[in-house]
Amino acid sequence: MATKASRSAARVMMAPAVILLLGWMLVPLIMTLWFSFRTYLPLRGGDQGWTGIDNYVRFVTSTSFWPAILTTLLLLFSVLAITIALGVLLAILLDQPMWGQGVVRILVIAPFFVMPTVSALVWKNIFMDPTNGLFAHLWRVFGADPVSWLSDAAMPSLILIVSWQWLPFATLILLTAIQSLDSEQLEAAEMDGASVISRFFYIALPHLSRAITIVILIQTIFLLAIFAEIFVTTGGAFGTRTLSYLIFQRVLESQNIGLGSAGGVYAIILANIVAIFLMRIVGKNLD
Amino acid sequence: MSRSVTNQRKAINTGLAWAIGLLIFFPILWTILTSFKTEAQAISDPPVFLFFNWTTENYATVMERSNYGRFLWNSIFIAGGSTILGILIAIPAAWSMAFVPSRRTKDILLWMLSTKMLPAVGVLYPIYLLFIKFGLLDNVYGLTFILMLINLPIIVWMLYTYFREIPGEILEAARMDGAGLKSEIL
Repeated sequence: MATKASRSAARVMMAPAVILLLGWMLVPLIMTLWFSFRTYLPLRGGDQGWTGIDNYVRFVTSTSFWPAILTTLLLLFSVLAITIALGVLLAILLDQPMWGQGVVRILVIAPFFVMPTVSALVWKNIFMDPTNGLFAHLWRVFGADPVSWLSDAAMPSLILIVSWQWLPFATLILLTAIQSLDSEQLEAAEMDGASVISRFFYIALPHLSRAITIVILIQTIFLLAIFAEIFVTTGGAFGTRTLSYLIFQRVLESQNIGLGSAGGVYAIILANIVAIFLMRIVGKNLD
Repeated sequence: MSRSVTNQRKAINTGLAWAIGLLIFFPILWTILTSFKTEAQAISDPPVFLFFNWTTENYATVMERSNYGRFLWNSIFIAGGSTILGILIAIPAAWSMAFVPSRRTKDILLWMLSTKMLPAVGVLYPIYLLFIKFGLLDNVYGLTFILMLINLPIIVWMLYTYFREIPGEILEAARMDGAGLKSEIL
């Protein structure tokens, strides 16, 4: 259908986006690679020349490396599991006829529009604070000792906060997908005597697989790079230091660009491993 | 849904959905309520829910202590600017990929998404150096530009899936009627 003229016009129209992204990807990436092989301490002598793979070895042998990787993956998979499981159920519920459907949908989607820093501050100070937080009050009402959430159960608290932020996104995408589900198909299945559970597993879930794939891909991208929530709530303490937070500490707190850049390269490798892994599992749903 | 739904079932759905909706919305609601409390009321034990002396004193304090309007404007400028810029660049790209697909289209799309996998912290310092070099430090334009680049892949993806849903016949009919490239897009 496309003529030769429109083909070349299409190339021209794609050019700005492709060139910008290519530059955006290559320039910082090459600079990061360059720095990762050098000793670079901005406040202690600046760029001091080549060191080979020293930075890479130091980054991996540091005691905080493997815990950081585990924390990153734990956070990623917990939040993915929670948001998708609850998101599917919530999307199905919100698709049912009810009174005030529009308002309920707005209520459910609202957390997505709260800035990460703000939501982390709200959870930290208003809910999880061990003396004045709402949870502390609640615990006292039942005669229990208030828990200092962000130090004693830092990881579950962080997962809770992040899941609260991302549940609306998953629900929204899944809800749009579920609305396109053919209700006649469900009806026919119901008449043939399929139970609610089998209708869910054999009709609704397969129909949602594409939407779930998109949710997993997009959330993974954002969850691997999560920063504000950790910075605000625990500052990386109590076992919540993810790989990106560790790099941040190396670059800005220890002012070691070389080491941080090596960490950046590891983070890129991790992101690619996770991406390939996910693509293998869910990639066939994409097209 | 064409199935007849009993009122009883509808009531159950409504109750359940509202309960969950309010639970999810509660942190925001509580924050809004707290913003109208005085310092003492905000940390009172037991917490007060609705029956306190509503005050707007906190809002006045925020305005007084900092240049709040300026920060707000910065946010709006950066968010709005980067979005508009991103859409302007993404529309032609998404359009051409959706309607004039080639063998490489899917690869280009996946590659675009993969640029988002680059962890921001990994390239933090290079960007900082580049900003110094181009004098973009301490103003909103550099930030706007970077955010535009960061979000460009997502915008292209969203527009691409959206364009794909426009039936090809409409476009062909428009083309026969002599519609140019520009009017097709708009």
